[in-house]
Amino acid sequence: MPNGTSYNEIVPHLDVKSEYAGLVRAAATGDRGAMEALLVRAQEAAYRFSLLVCGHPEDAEDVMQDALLKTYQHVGHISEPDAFRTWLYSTVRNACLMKRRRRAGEPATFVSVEHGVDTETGRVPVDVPDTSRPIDQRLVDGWVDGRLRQALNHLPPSYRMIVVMREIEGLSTKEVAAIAGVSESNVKQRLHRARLMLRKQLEHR
Amino acid sequence: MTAPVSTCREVLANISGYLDGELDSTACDAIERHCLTCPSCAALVKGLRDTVGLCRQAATAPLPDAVRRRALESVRQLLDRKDHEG
Repeated sequence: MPNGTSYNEIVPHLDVKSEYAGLVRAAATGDRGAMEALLVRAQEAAYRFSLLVCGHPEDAEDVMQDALLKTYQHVGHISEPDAFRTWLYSTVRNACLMKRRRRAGEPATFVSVEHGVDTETGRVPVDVPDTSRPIDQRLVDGWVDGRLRQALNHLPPSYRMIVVMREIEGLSTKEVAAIAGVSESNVKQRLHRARLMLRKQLEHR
Repeated sequence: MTAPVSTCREVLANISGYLDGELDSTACDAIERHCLTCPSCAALVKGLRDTVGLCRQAATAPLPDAVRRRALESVRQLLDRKDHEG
């Protein structure tokens, strides 16, 4: 059993914060390679957030484009490269929220066809391949562990966002607090509860 | 310094801090000693560690090739257009 910091030594997050900061500095000086790498990473972050937090694969393309253009416009004006990730995820989060507002009334989460559609108490199995699903839905089905994706979808949206940003994207508690607009202790509290909910969901799958 | 824990309730309250490496060694030792004699807390620790591990595996999984290609194409189109505009 791990103790102290040993847990994070087993499953470390890459030091993406300093990698982003380095790319931002280089891109701001006109380094095209750095700009290209930064913009690709910004779009990938937007894609993951859009799918895992918002659950609308059909929005992923628009959110990626938004991240691309805003990052390109923003890079030359950044005074604190270390704060870039906070800015990026705030921008992506806002783009997702705008999308959600536009589709008010629709469910905030998607239902995986493999698990059927919930009815009153049971489930309706779907035995045929659903080629009508958006391409991004099919892509993400093969990318993220299906059990994890389903468990995430059962979390309240505000908890899901905290889990994705902390556990998957590797942002710090301080960064997540700034993006979500809550205190650091609130982030820790939500993360704790979300982990317990996720564990419960995963145990039932 | 975090006070040592010895009850199930205290383990539950401190488990995230433990997993995140935020507790001192005394508090960690107390949780581990408690788990040696409490199967339900030991299962909780293992279950949460596995849960976090599953999330972090997703963090290291590369995005689908189609998505990466699409992102790169969009970036190059934008940069080429901006270069052309001068």
